[in-house]
Formats: sequence, structure tokens, C-alpha cells
Amino acid sequence: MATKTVKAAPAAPRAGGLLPRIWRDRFTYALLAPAFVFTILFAYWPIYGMVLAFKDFSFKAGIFGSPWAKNFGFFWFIKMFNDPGFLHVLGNTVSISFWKIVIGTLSCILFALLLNEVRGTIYKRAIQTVMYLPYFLSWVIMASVIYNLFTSSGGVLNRLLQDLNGGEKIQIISNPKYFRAEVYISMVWKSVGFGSIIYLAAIAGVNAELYEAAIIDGANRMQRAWFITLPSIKSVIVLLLILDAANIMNAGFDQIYNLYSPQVYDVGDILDTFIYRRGVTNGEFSFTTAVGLFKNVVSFGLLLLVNFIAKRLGEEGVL
Amino acid sequence: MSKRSIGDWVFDSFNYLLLGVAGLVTLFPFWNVIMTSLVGSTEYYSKAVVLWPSAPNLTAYLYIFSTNWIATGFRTTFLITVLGTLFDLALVCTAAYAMTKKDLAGYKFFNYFFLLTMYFSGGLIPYYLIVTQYLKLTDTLASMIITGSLSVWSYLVLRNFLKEIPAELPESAKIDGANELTILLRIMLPLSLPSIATLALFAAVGHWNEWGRALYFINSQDKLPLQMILRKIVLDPNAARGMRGSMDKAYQQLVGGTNETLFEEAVKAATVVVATLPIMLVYPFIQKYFVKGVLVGSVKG
Repeated sequence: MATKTVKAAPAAPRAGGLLPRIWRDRFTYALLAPAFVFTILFAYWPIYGMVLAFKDFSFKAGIFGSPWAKNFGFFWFIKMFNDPGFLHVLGNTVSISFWKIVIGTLSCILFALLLNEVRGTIYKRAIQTVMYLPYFLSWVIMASVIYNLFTSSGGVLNRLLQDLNGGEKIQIISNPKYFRAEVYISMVWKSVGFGSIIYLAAIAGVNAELYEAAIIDGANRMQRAWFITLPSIKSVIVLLLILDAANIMNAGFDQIYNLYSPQVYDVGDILDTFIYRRGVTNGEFSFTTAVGLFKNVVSFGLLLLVNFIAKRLGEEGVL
Repeated sequence: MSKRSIGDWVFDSFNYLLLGVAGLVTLFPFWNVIMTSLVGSTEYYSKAVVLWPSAPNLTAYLYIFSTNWIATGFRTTFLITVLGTLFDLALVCTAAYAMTKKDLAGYKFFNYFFLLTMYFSGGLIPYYLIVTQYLKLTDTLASMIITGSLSVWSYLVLRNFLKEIPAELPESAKIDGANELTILLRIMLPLSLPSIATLALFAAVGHWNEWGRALYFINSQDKLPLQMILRKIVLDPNAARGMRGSMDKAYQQLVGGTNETLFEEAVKAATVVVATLPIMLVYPFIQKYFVKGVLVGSVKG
């Protein structure tokens, strides 16, 4: 007992009990209140609203008053895993996300490496300014510009491709054959510039002495990039890959929704567009809430998993 | 590095060329849209590519402005950009300042309370039902302004910045009798103005590009933001058909009964240009703040 009091004594400056402290900080709580209230309303209330996945939605009773679903509430989950549409869309989502991560990461790193070799500041700035631009435009605008290029009623690139094809008609937009390519290329177009910023910053932080030593050893630029730059920015690459991997269930609603059409649902429909169509448009609220719950739980699990793996590999995690 | 070998020279030339081509490829689609909006169908189809129209004309622009849809779109977009940004910043500034006080009872709880929303959400459908059924915000501008929670990323950036401000400043103000709100508005925010400006730009571009919440919540044509008007005219054939009918009528009234059919691709392209131009104009000035923002934000919270 004696040691306890001795230990407690130096940490005493906290005046009073809990209530006086709360009263002392009442204005601080008042400042915290707006963010707290809106986070409850639009983040935690919807999280609680996911109980709908275990209920049969009725418009009259609302989310919270609707009766529980059959099979101990798991009716919609059973339906989900027996729904060929859902399984197909899940596959699309993972595959589109996976290739977006691979292509996106490689293109950003390559662009950063090439840009880093440019010595003229003005040229470098000009290229950066141009390449960052699409990042600031919405996917509505990007998809509209793509439409302008490829529309089968005379898009410039559509006509060019037709000429190359010996004058035969070609349909690019709404064609399942080209849709995935359209998604990947437009993703690179929109984000390669802005996505490279973080790699450029990492490259700028590499110890210059390493390069000097390599030059003395006769390493050419490719060798320097491969043996010095890339290993030096490894932890940044890993960190960004972790964040991407945890996001694999999000294949990009904004992009897909603005590019796709019923003709390409087979290759282009992803979980988020599926949820929107079957939920908001068709009103299958319980079913799509179950899909959403599945998606969010898997995402969260993936985040914990990749964070754990990253820490095991000796990298800094994100949590 | 003094002497450049032939290999270096070859590499540099190739690299400059490659990046130059990448830049042109990135820009060309936008240039092509502008040109498409300025030409007639005859010239458009007779040339492989229109780098500059022989006789630029603005009929497509006259046509799309013949109804007030573009104007109401601009108005909505402007309102949700200004009010939405102010709303976001109000939440971020107050929360970030409050959370600089580590001895606050419940500090850890509040911190995790906000952080968790970055990693877990209720998903679209519960959110949609709460906004439409419980809060009854369907078809209101508010549904595109206040239906967000705290932006955790901005909150972390600003909180980390505010923590760097010496504690003596707010302390002495408190002794002089200033309350927390005064300290925040008179001392902390003016000192962190550059950070706040960057966060405001991020928020503003996000709101300017808003279309998702309009898709979910807005039914009336005159409340749709510009992005949705663009979406309907260019990307949604069903909606476009209806809109084009009214636009045809309005245009014929405007120019006086001529029954000429307008070149459809020019009309669509003109809409794209009008929706893109504002961002293009401010972009060169705000670009550097975004680069800064990305690098600041990448520091772990």
C-alpha cells in the first residue's frame, strides 16, 4: 500500500474527479459536438442500420421496425451465396481491383522513375502539370471525354480504329470485349500523374551518396534505378500496396458506373454498382444491405490481415 | 556527373520524348472535345482529326444555353461547393482543435470514435434509407451538403498542425479571459490558415465534382448539379432523349423557327467543355497546394 501512494503522488496534478474535469472542459466538448453528432448521424447510424441485413424490410416499419428475417435472420445471406449474380459480381470486383492495383502501381512507379531522370525543371513542371490534370476532374467528365473519343457515331479514335481494321465497323463503348481495357487505361490516364507524387517524394529522399558510389562503380541509369532507387523506396511501395489490398472490395463505383451499360454488366458489374442497382433502383434493400455488410466485413478483415502481415515483414503498418 | 556519355544522351532523348508523348496523349482527348464542340458535322466527318476548325462556330453552346439547365446546374454546383466546403471545414476545425487537448476526459474514446469511420462504414443502403426515410432529405440541397460525417483525413492533418502551435499561446489567451471558441477563431485558425486553405481546396474540388449524392437523392431537374446534367446529356441515352426534345424547342424559339438539326456530337462536347472549363481555369493555381496536401497527408496520423 505504501508504494502505491508514493507512486501515485507525482501524477496528481489532475485536479478533482471526473465531473469537475468535464465541467472545466465544457467548451471543448461543445466544440467537439458538431463533428460528434454528424459522425453519429452519417457514420454510426448507418453502421447500426446494417441490422437490416437480418430483417425483412418494410417501408412502413422502416429499418429498425422491420421484422426479423427467416433462418434466424440469415435468410438474405443464404440467398446471397446462392445468387449466381452476386458470386459473379464478387469475382468481377476482385479481378478488376487486382489488375487496377498491379497496373496502377507499376505505371505510377515507372512514371516517377522516368520523371526523376528529367533534369530540366521547366520541362518537368510542364509534364507534371499536364499529367496531374485529370485527377481533378470527375469520372462523369472523364467518361464523357472517353465517349467523345470512341463513340461509334464518329469518335476520332473509333474512326481511326475502323480505318486500321480495313473500314469495318468497330464498337468500343459498351463492348464486353474492350470494357476491362477501357477501365484500366482510363484509370492510368486519370491517376498516373497524381499517384506518382508520393513515389517521387520517396525517390527524392534517397541518399545521394548511394548514387555517387554506384556511378564510381560504373552503374548505368537502369542499374541505378533497379539496384538503388527501387530498393530504397521499397517500404513506401509496400505501404501503398497494403492500403490498396485492403481496398480490394472497392473496384471504383464512380468510374464503373459512368463507363458501363447493360451490355457490359457481365464483365463490368462490381459489388458497388450491383448494390446500387438492386438496392436503390430495384428496392431490394435487405438483400443489398446483406451484400454491403459482407463487403465491409471482408474489407475490414483484409485491412487487419495486411496490416498484420506488413508488421511481420518489418514494415510500418497503417493501424 | 560532369561528362555525359552517349548512352546518357540516348536515354535522355528517349525519356524526354516518351514523357512528352505521355503528356500529349493525356491532353489530346480534352483538346478533341473542345474542337468537336466548335465544328459542324460535315467538317467533323470529312477530316480524320480536327486540330483546328476551319470555321469555328458556337451554335452548340447557344443550343445548350437555350434552356436554363446549365445555369441551374451551375447554381446548384456553386451552392453545394461553397456551403459544403464551409460545413466540412466547420466540423474539421472544431474537432481538430478540441482534440489537441490530450487531458480531455474521454480523449481516447473520441479519437477512436473518429478513426474507426475511416476503416468501417455502414454501406450505401442503410445510409440511403436513413437520409431518405428517417431524415427526409430527398430532393433537397441539404442532402448534398450536410449528409457527411467528419473527414478524418483532414481532421488528422489539421490536428497534427495545431499540435505544433506552442501551448503558451492559447494558455495566455485563456488567462486573459478568452473562451475556447474565441481562441479557436482568433488564434488557432489564423495561425493554421495555409493548412486550412489546402484542406478547403480538397473539399471544394470534391464538392464541385459531386454527382453520387445527386444520383441517390435528387429528383428535380432544377436541383441537379452540373455533373449530373452533363451525365444525363452525354452518358444517359434515355434521359438525353427527353432533354434534347425540350432543348430543341427552346433553341428553335431562340433562333426563330429554323428546323435545322444540330450536330449531336458537338452538343455533347459543348456540355463537356462547359462542365470542365471552371476546373481547368483554377487548376494551374491550386495544383501545388494539392501536391503539398498529398505529402502532408501521407504522414501517419
